[in-house]
Amino acid sequence: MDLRARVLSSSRAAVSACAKTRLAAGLAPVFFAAVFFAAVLLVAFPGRGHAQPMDTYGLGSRAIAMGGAVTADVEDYSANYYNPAGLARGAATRISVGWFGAQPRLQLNGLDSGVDPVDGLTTGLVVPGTIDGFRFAFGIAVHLPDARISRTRSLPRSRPRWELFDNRPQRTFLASHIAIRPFEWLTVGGGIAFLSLSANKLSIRGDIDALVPDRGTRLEHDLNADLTTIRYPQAGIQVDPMPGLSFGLVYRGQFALDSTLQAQVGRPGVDSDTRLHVGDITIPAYFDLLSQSVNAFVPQQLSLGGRWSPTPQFRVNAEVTWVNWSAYVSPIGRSSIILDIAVPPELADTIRVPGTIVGSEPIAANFQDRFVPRVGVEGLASSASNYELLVRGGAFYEHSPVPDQTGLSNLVDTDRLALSAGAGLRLTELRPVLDGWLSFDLHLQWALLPERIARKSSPVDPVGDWRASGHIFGGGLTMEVGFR
Amino acid sequence: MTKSRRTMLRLAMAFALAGCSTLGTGPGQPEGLPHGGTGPFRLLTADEVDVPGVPAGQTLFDRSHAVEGGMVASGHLFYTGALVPPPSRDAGMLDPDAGPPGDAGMLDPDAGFSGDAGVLALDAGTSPDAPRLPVPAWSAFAARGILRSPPRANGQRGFDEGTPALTATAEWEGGHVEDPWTVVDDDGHARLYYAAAGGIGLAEAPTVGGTFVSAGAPVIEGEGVRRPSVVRGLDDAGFLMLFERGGRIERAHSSDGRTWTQDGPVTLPALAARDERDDTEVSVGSPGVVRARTSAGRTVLRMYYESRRGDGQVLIAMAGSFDGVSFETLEVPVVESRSLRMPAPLSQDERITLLYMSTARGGTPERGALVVGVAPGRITLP
Repeated sequence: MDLRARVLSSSRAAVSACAKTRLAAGLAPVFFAAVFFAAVLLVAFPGRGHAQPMDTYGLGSRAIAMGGAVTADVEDYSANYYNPAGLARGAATRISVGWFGAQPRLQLNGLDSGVDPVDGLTTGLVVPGTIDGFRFAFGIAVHLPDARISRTRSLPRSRPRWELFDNRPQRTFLASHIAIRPFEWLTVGGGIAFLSLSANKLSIRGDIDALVPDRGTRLEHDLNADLTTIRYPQAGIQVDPMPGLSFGLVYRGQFALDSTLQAQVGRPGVDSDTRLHVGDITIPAYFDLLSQSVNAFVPQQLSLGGRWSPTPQFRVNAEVTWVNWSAYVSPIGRSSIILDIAVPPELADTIRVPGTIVGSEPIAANFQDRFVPRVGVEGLASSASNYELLVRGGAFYEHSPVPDQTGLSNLVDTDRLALSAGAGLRLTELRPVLDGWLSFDLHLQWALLPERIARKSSPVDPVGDWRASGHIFGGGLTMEVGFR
Repeated sequence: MTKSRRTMLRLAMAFALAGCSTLGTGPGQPEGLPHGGTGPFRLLTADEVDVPGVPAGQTLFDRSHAVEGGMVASGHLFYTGALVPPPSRDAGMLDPDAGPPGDAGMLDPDAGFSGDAGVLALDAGTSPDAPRLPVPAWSAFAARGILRSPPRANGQRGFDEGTPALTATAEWEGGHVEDPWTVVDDDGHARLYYAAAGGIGLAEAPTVGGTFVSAGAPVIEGEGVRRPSVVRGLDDAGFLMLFERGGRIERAHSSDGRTWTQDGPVTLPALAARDERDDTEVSVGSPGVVRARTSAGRTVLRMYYESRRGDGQVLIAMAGSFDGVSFETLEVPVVESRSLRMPAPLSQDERITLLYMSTARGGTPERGALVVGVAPGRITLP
């Protein structure tokens, strides 16, 4: 068997059977597809949409190496993110595991901003089958970060933050999709993805000795942190109109992680279980801090891509993604503070309690939509009867959706130009141990964030003007086992 | 073991290794965040100023003289000081050599000045109804002048006792000079602006460490004029002076630094009280201005000044300007304390600002002390 053709021309194989199937298929595939789409839409729209940390860095070494331009050209586990329709393209069961890492080197005024790296385990599988003669596939993908399952941050509203790179990618991601192939030239997929969310509440009660705090203070605290999930759908199609050419379209909705942080000391009123002791005098005390913000908003997106294979050994992919950043909900949230200490008259001159502590109000983000162009290439560099070596390259450019930060907020972001490269080694002759293949895909990515300058309108702005720039280095390896 | 089982085992081990590679890392902390010099300022530690054995913030180790109004130019500390130490403790006079060494550094922890022995009425430049302000008891000492302390060899932010750089010589000065503010040109030429009884004077020296010679006549005439603060203009072509007169801050400009044109008062909205402990603002004064370059390459004037409250306390306020004419005020004071005065900023770089201030000295509040704060307050200076 011509292994090169097997690797690179899955679409060709599909399209070769296309003409036969078009005529043979009746209304059943159409009905099946319609029901499938309806089910996807029912799941999709009641929720607040979808997205994931992969929006920033991608999923799977092959896709990342090709600049993410694989909406029309994906069939491994990364289809769970790029286009679930791709799950039904192949006939083999695939199991993938890999490691992904991205190291931001982001700076403000030439000083490191301390943005955490994102790295962790990625894994997934694709299991195909047939239902009533139609190809069907189930897929699942997981991104499990190294350092944390989820992170909640509620920062002071003027604190500079790399809005798209600091906290948003720090999430666990799980996606499961199904796809069908009602016609040989059409695949349709959809499903649900899960993201982790946390809500925290801290309660403190006890006695505080104002005169001898080291010895006279007894406090208990409870911390309740709920790690819950947010579910959101996505759907996509892939069309192969002719040999060597395919198109893909995928829609990703929006979602937002609402973050709530509440800290309470005591209870309101004179029966508070938290008391201040000043000598023989006992004063009930109550403090309440409530911070509500949107912690990881990801906008809805629509990607349209194409793949062209002028020869079986080479393919060129291109696509554009519309990202609805204008719907972005500012992470600068609302906070309220209540401090209630009933100071007795004899201590009124000693203990002063402010009457009202002003909280904060959200500041509109005013992001703008953007179109992200992506290109990717893949070619066969070398092959023999038992292996194939592929080389890949890709690029994308993201215009920053963040407006000039002239006021109190400091949502830091710049444009991003990312260049990537990679290689894939597929061992194809493993029988009798394995009737399938074993592949290793490697990717490296470098992203340039050119300098952006914020000029404040106020000469007494607490943060002042700033310059933002940086680089992001990424890399990873994915291993896949395929069973024919 | 069959070959297929060995292969599967190897695959399982490879998967396990991939999982083991994902070892967690600790969370990063934001460092190096930009800062607009708006505070809050914290007092430097003794290690940061290298004046050991004294309370936080004290920048001048001078156990004998009464001091106030310090500012730093080209590494030299200029301040107002008694030219001779007090002769004895008799009749309220203090023996400079008495007391433990640490006495020099003891700041008054209750330096509210209201009603204590160190409270004296401001001896010049206040309106009749202005509150009493905490100033050194100049009447208890001999004539005062302007002292200069050169930078230490170790380059730290502390200073040793200075020597006189300028004393009163002209009749219009009324026997004393005070409130120094030194500007050093690119070629090293230094101009020392100061206040005296008849107005604001100018003395010049070939270098900041050289001999200052007074120009003779005041550059700004008028009684009750104090605390000149001079920077180069935003267009680099001239100079801008902010000074205090009658409980207000006024502005003047000059093309050569010697001949000045007065522009009148600077409009500054009153600094609102933070809570019931802050009394109403009754006057402003003692401006200290610095020309800073922002990270975007713009030049901004940052003026720190005293917001004097009805109860005699002082809040250090701040205003900024992009044109040197109109100033926008910060809504909160830049220093938590209500007992620091006479702010004199020094821009270290785009991010770090030092603020030299005056306060009372513990035990002998009438002698005063010079302290220095830094913003952003969370950084540690080497």
